[in-house]
Amino acid sequence: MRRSLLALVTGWAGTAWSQSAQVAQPPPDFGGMYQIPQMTTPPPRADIFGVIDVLVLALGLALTAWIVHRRRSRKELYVVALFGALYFGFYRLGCVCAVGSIQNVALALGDPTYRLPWTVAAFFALPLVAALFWGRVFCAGVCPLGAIQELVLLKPLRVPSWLDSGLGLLPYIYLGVGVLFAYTGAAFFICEYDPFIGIYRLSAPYTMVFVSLGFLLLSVFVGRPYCRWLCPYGVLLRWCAPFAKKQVRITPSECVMCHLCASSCPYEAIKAPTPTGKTPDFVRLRRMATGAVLLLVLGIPLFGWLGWLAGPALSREHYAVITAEEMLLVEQGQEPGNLAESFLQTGQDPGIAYAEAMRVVERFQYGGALLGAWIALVAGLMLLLELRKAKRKEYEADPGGCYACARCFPACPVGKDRLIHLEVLK
Amino acid sequence: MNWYKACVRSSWVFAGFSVLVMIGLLVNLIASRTASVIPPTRVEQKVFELNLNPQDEALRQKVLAQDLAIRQAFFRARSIAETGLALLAFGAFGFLVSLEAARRLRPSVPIPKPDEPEAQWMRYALAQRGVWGLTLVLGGGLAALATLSRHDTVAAFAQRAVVVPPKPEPEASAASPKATPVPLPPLQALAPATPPAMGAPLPTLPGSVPALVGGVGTQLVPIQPLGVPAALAGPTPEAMAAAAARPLPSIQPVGPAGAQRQWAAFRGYGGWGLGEADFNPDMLANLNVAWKTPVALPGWGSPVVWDDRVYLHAANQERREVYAFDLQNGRQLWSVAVPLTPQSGPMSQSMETGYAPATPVTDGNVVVVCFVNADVAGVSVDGRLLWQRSFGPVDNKYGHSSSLAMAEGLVFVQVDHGYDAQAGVSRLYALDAQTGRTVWEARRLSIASWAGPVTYRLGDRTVVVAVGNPAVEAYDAKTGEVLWRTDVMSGEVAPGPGVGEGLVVVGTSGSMLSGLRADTGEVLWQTHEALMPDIASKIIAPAGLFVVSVDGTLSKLDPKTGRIRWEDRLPKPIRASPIWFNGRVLVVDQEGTLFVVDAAEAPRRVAERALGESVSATPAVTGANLLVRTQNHLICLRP
Repeated sequence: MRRSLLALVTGWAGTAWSQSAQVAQPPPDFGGMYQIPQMTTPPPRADIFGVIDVLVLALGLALTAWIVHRRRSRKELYVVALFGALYFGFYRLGCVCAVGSIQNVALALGDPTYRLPWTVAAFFALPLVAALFWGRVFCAGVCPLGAIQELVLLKPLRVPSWLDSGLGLLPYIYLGVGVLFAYTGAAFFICEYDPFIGIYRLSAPYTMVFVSLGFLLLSVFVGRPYCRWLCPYGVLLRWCAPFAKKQVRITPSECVMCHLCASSCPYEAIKAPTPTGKTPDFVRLRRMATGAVLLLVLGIPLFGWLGWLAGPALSREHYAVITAEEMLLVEQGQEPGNLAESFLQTGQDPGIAYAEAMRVVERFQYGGALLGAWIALVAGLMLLLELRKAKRKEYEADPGGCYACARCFPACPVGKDRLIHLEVLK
Repeated sequence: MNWYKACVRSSWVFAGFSVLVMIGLLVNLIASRTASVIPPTRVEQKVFELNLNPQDEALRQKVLAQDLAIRQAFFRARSIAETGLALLAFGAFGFLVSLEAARRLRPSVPIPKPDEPEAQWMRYALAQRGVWGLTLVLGGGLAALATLSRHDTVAAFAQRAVVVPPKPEPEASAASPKATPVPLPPLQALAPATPPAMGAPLPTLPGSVPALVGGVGTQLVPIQPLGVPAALAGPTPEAMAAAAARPLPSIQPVGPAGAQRQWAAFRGYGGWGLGEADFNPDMLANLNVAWKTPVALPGWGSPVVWDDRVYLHAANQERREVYAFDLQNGRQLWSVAVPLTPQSGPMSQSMETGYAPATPVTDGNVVVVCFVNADVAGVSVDGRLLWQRSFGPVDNKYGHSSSLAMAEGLVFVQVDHGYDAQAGVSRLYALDAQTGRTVWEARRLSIASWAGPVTYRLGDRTVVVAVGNPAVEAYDAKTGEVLWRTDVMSGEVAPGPGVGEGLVVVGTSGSMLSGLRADTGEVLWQTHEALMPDIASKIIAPAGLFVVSVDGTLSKLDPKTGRIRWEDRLPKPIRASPIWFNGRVLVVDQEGTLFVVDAAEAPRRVAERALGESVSATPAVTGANLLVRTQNHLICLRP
């Protein structure tokens, strides 16, 4: 049965992509008889649609919060997530989105000539503000990237905790890389490699087709792989959600320690009560703490130094550096690439291109050093925080890691009874 | 009814449906790739044959039929693919929904399995390993990137990088109300502490070298003090509106006597870029090549014409020559070698500039030429070297390329160089055309620039306007008195100004496009809407203001307001300036294709003509002749 399912899903996705590629292929060259129509620039999108997008986002957040905290209904949340995928995904083609807006904010900080559109600022800020009040309701019902993973999750498998924790470091790194590339004006890395945007747009480069297929397939068996192990915006939400005024509560009554909620959570976001009785191995614990502190003390300068050295390699994504490299090749007698050709046509002194490339490389060296230090800092803190002795008396949703998907609500036997008692489920 | 079973069966139905659609789509995909329609290459071959024999109606019909067949096959396959995709999406949706429903409806009993405390501690320990593992992988990645970093490439960048002058701060930019126009600095700060006496040479100033011929330097006047400009308000919207509210002054082009019907300077009479021809520009494609004469040495300067002679100059690193050609048949009448003087600066240049980038000027008696090292020479029309002056060495990264202007018997040489405007090394020289003697020279607060001066008549005064960075300055042609100065320029100033309709329009890709009053220099408008010119000069014609950017975009603007009217993207880059004659704009791209554009409400290219050789020089129009200097030839087109 599982194999059949796998084959079917693979077949669907493969056929859809091959056909969408056919739809997207350019019209054939009809030869000299065909008059190519004059290229026109479409008018910019009317401002009112931006207002509508922000309103839909705000309403979606409020509605999700109401469903999660008051209605406690998984079904209703499912409908909202479906709407999020349809509106922000298929209709708005995944743009503007809160995840990508991080880069706009970074670019606005790095480039004073770039003006941050207010709609993008709103998409960046509103989910974070909502997280400060109600937890990660954005992930639960509004985010199109989260929604598509939520909707295709059919057979959730448990991921080994060592792998889950290790991969949990990746979103921080992705955030650092995305901010570095956007701040320096090199690329909007997070958008460029968004695995689900091609699905919403039915068009993507072939490499991204395979990445999307991989994520889609993985999402059938693993809960929200992108949200858990890549999403850079999730990092910000993870920071904000623990301060939420209203946290997700698994049971409205007293926990009976049945563990059913933890079993129902595909995201490993429900933490068991703190073990009592048997004391941990303190020698081992101290060794782990020492390792974490050493990583912080030695790793930050070491990784920072490596990042500084890696700066020139990272800067090769920036057009100014690519231009200068192409100019060097021209000097060696090779044909100019597109960027070098464009630059030469401006009639400017090639020295200006090299000077600009130098400036960019320098920015990447500083940025690379910060990125390296950031990796060591996050890893060290994660190791230390794992050792925290929590004081949980019952099963609780991890406020940072819980996507407020409401799967645990119907799984809780006490909750069900209480809701029936309150005549909500009748 | 057992809903669970119903959902399971539904999911099978949806799955089967999806598989069928998939098969159909794959068949369509394979069919569209392997269909036996005529390959487009064969149609291209037919089109080629049709071009050779355009009268073959049967062939035309065959091409059309094949073209139609290809289109139909393509759009049919596309339509099937789109429909199939929709069906597949439907099938997938139904499958997922029914499967999810089945999962929910499946009768099951939850079995609690609480974690053992030991297992939880084990999980923490394993989590630590995961984080360590990934940290090491990331550290290894950084180390690999550090190893891959091409530090030799970065060193190569550093070696070749030029020091880019800092961009002006927003407060100092052209758009700033504080900066434009500014009152001139106090005279004491600019003028020499002790002005040289009448007749005394200026040994410390470039350009005051003795002439080879003509006794230059005997009648020098002191550097003209920078006159105080008219009291100007800053270019606030109110100030611009106030400046625009007054009627614009009447100005006319001015040049040497009798030059109205000649093409005696860069962009013709007064340097305005306007001309008249005895042929219809719309018939460009039908013009004959009257003659095509090779030019021995390279140069980017445009030809100038006086009566029946065409003058041109050219140079390489070893030789510098001035040529005269017979306008009727293109025969070379003479060539004069212009040697270096003891005061000559080095003949260094950049690839873009060449050794003779400026355009000569003539009054029918003497032809004055200028080279990349700011050496200026006067040659009589019968081919005798009359005088030489050297204003170098110039501190100018592309070399000196400002073209010359002439009026009131004087030749105006704009030598803007250096990269510190306050150092005051830049000059505008007025030389006696016949002797090369400096009649006056004006100190300019401008860094290196490459545009040439233009002239116009304002009332009873002849005005010379020179555009630099940051200043646009207007001088009295007879005395060198500064009439006004407005700071609106930044970046690399190579395009000359557009003059006409009582306006002087200036701008380059590093600054805004600004319309100034020709009498006071007050800013009437500023815009960055149009694609800015990088090299080509602007023209103000009766139909409007025209600017050409280096990527080949011809833009028309309203000269009174700066509002853009239209843009026409020509296919190739353009370095030559546009000219206007007989109600049409003529532009020539870098590959040597001439375009005649009807400049009415919308751009309409009415004629084009490929010369087959690279062109950077602005064409000249006089009488029935259209003269174009290509890379290696001088070409005359004539009806």
